[in-house]
Amino acid sequence: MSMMKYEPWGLLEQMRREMERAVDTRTAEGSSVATSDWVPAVDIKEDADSFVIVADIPGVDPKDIEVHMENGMLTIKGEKESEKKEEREGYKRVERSFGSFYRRFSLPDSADPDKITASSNHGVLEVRIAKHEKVQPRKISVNS
Amino acid sequence: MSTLNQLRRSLGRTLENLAEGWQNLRERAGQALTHFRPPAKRDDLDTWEDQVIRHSADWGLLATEVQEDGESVIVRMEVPGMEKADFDIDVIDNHLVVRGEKRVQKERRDGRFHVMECAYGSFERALALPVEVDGHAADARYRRGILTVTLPKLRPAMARRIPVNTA
Repeated sequence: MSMMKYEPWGLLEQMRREMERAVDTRTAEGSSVATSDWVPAVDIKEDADSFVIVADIPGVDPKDIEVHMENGMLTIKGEKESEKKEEREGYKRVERSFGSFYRRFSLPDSADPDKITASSNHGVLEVRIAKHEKVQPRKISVNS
Repeated sequence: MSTLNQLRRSLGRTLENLAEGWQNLRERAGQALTHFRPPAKRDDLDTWEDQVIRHSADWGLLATEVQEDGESVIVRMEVPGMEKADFDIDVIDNHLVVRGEKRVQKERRDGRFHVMECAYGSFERALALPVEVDGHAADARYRRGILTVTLPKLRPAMARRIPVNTA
């Protein structure tokens, strides 16, 4: 029989952790550094021949986005500039963050650093990293 | 120390953390945190997209700024990944109401997700406007994931001189 620690506040602790996770804007996994001003939300998907990273980066000029990969780490970073810097007056509500963003992902060895494509559309960055051909699923027939 | 005291302290600490967490969240996000829910079903078919939406984040940030100049109120909202046709924008009771549906792109329909932080589905956000505006003359644009709505003021600010009468 295993012994369990009596933790009546487990649920609240769990809520607190959830909250911290939300507040820390996904910095927990150490994928961003203190120098970035904001962290984009991402989806990471894997299909048969590639990994796809989709990041929400509204308001970022595509030429200000940098994507590179080294030692199995994919880095996306860039800069979001305010539309009109000169007139910062007359603001009734400001929720948007500006400045630099930075995020890193560690990818499995099957990702091919030479085959990366990136595109940006409607404020969404899509980075596609092809898998090495040898790791793509192959059907092996069984000989009798 | 009695167990009761221990419990009490533990609860106090947890609630404190909870309150602090909420406060941080409110400060950072304000009302930008918006609930995304699956769009109203057109039929009973459970499509691949429905499944993705159910598993995606329920909450997304629609960070917004509201700016006012002499003639108009300008609202900029960050809503990445939309199509122009999927926005539904109204001025109701001097609130700007933005509704929309963020769809999952077709080419992403196979494979499996490792991380899902982006929110998909239907959302609605209402923003109180600082002054009365003419909703019929509003103009909306969508570029690089930013929705910009320009709303002309109903009564543009006019310099008014108030004479002082002698009693």
